[in-house]
Amino acid sequence: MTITHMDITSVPDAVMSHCVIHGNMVYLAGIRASTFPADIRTQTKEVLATIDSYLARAGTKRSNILTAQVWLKDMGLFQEMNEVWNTWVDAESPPSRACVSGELCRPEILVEIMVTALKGGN
Amino acid sequence: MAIERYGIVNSPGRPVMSLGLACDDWVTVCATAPDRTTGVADQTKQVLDLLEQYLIEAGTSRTRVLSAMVWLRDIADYETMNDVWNSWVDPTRPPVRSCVQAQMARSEIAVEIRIIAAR
Repeated sequence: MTITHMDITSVPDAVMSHCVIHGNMVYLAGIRASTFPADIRTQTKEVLATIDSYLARAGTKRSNILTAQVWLKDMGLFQEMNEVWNTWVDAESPPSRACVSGELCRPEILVEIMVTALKGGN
Repeated sequence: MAIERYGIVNSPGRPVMSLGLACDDWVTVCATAPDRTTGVADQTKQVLDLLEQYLIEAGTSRTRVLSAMVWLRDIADYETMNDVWNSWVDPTRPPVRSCVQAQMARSEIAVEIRIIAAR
């Protein structure tokens, strides 16, 4: 089955895709904000907008997200991240989600979210 | 649908688990370095070699990796891990990836990687 790669980055950055499609499955990279400094709400909004954009390019949408892994630089940011998440997520079809804290690859990054989604669906 | 299991761990003091599973055209493998006396560059190479070994056993290859999750003991090792990653991955068909710092099960583990691949 064909594998489609979107937005491949190369050396000296990490060699990786930002979206990979295989059959009905869509895999997104750990998405982070690109404009800094920015507070947790702003970063979360940018991350979720980027996720929307990749899902649209992949031919799917946020109600088809299966899993979301959220990493926060500091668990003290949970409440604010979550408020942004709750206004964004499809309340009828939310994904399974895990959220843990961990230091991210640059100190100014407060949140990173990795999702998988189903292509097609309703 | 049958599930194939690779590298079942079941020895005293270790978690009971499979290092890899495959089902239909979908494969996942998660591993740490067998020799943890070395630094992050060597451990990353060991992990990627081990993952590749299981990919081959499952009938696929590094060119069909879809997604990778990298956990580092110390995010300061990011560049070092990344150099090894960059020389391993197929630059025309790389997977999506995320990398975060996490406390490892044992302090000598510098890196752990899970991949999902197609076959």
